[in-house]
Amino acid sequence: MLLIDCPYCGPRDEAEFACGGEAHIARPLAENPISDAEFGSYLFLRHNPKGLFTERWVHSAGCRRWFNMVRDTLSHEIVEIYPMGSLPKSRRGKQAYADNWRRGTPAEAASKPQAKRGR
Amino acid sequence: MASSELDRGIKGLAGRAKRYSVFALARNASRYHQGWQQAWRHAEPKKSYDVIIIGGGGHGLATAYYLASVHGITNVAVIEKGWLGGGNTGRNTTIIRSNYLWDESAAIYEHAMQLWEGLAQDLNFNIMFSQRGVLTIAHSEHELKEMSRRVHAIRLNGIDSDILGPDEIKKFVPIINIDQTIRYPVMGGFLQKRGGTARHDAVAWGYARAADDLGVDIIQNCEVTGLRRRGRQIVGVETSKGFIGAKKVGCVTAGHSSVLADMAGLRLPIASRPLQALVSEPIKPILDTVIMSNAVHMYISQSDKGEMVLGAGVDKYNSYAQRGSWPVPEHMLAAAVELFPVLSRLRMLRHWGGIVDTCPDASPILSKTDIEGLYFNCGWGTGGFKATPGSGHVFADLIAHDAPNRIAAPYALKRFETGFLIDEHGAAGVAH
Amino acid sequence: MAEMTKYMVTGQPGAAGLALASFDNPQGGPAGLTLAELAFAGKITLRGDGETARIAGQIAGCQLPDGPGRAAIASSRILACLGPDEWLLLCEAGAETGLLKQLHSQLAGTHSAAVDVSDALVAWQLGGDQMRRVLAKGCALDLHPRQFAAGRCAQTMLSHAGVTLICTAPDSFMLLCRTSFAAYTASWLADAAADCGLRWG
Repeated sequence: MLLIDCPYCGPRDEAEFACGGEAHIARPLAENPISDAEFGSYLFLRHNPKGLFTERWVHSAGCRRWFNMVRDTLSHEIVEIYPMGSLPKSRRGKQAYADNWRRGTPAEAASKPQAKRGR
Repeated sequence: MASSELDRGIKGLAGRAKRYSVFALARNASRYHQGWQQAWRHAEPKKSYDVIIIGGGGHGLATAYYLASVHGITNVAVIEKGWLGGGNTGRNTTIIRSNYLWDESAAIYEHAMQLWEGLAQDLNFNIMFSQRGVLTIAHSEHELKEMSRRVHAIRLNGIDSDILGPDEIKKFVPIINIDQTIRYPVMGGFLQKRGGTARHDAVAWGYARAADDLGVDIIQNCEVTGLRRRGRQIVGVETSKGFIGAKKVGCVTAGHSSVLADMAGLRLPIASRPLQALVSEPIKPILDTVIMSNAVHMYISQSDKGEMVLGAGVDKYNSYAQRGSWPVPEHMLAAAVELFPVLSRLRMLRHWGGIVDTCPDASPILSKTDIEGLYFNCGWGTGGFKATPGSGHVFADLIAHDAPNRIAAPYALKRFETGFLIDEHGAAGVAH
Repeated sequence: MAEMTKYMVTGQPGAAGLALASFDNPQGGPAGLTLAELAFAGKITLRGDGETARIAGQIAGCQLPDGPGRAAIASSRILACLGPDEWLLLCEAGAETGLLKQLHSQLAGTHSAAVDVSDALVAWQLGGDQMRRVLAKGCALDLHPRQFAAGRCAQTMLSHAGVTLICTAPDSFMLLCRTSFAAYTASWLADAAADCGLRWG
């Protein structure tokens, strides 16, 4: 049973939370078309490491806020908890973020708005 | 799918010497049972093989057996990082059935069922296959309607499925509580009479012995650490016992499939989750069928030793730890006790978890990959054991012909690009 | 269902419409758990930022709680902070109407919400020397008096019910849950007090 340190409510039982799966999956914007294969990869393929993993969690039985977590999927050690909308700050967290195959994919690049260039 | 067309590989086993008899038993008993021939060799790896199967569970061993017995490909090694059958094969709750919704699912699971029905004979090994029926309970109006749709779809595919009302269920399962005021009342159910259980360990051992008899090397305690390629062609595997060459490599590693895929730079749509199970102390026979309930996320049967075998839904976060956390079995047992009050004072004896490779559509992956000679069989999630013979049989066919047959074709990785998903969450019988 | 009704006396006045039947402490002495409904207590859910809470505190006559998990307790008013942008304001029965009028007026134009949830939630007062131990049977929070002292509050689970717990005094808790869970929660409390006795009312 995980003891999760909710950023607002403090340490609570795992049973008070729901896991939202992999964190930092950026949705490609409609304005940046990508191929079916690239979109299928974004939508269905998963990062599934045996080791450090960045995840989203929500404190559903408490404050109902979302936050991010770096957790080891083999030992269940919680390495870092950091706010939704930000990136990990710990060395291991940064490594976990960087080691994810989504980094640098066309889908991730397509999630950023294009700069308007006088069109 | 008629049995006469189905090459189950039994011809591979003709003319083998009898090794077990009452005389052998008497002889060995007098020598403290130290003279039994080992059921399979503990092979040391050769420099190379025609085919390497990574993963010595039921599906991997079945694949190797059918490669040898059906396709005559015997220069095969099964490489297992632990002991054979020690992964999900040894951790499941042994349920076998083929009552899925879609045509593609009916094809693979019924293919497996027909192989199950002859497997003990084929392998000459008692796998304790018991067609005691699998009954899935409906707990609401919605579930009754959905059940009706499923039963008709199942029957249209020529697979047996019967609808039962609460009174019929009570007759069939005397220990069940059909009080309509409980939280999840039994409003009806559908039964596959040909479904049931088999002894999971025996399935692994039976396939291992039969494959070994045909010349397959089973190499245990050997971990694959890399997949070596020359260009886009697989040339072999790096292991803890050194490099082993291969023309073809089939990955059948269940919850570790992503770990293997990463070694080849491949991506899979899999999330590895814990799936827990537990057994009670042995008691007198009280349940002679298998009961599943989607709403309460519970399935239960009674082993031949008398233990109640119970399983629940997956834990809610990824894990490779082969254990889950307590709230899952706690909720499942609360529901089980309401449905079967007689369980309330049973002591639970053992509790464990496996690593299930769940797919976005709760259907497996049987596929070639972008790398020539590399094939993946994974994504069976919570429902792999029932498919063991069918999975091995069609995967062997895929590897042998370098092309999927009619049964395997819909399960290619490409479906995650085309969108032709085969959504079997409803039939999986286990909360994802 | 049968198990729940064995503790309940239904059709009673009060917001939850139920009462529990008291029973003695099997070990003798006073009941270990006391339970009374704060019938029709005013309850207002507040969403917004620190400024929203400051205004609410001013109107209600409460201090501003320090942050999530802290409650400011005035004589008949409680302002509990339940999250970074969520507060629960409790007041005596009937006072919520006037408070809401003032809140809506002073919060107009701000990104905030003040909603009357007096009927959506039920509030009970708990006491008795076994109060924390009884709650601990179904609540994973550390309820030790040092950890959950007066002025602490939490949204958490009590068995299968989502509840809000407020420690109003060293030997007194306030417990709130959704009205639809009132019967379940009350019955659970009675069942949990079976080994030390319950005094209702």
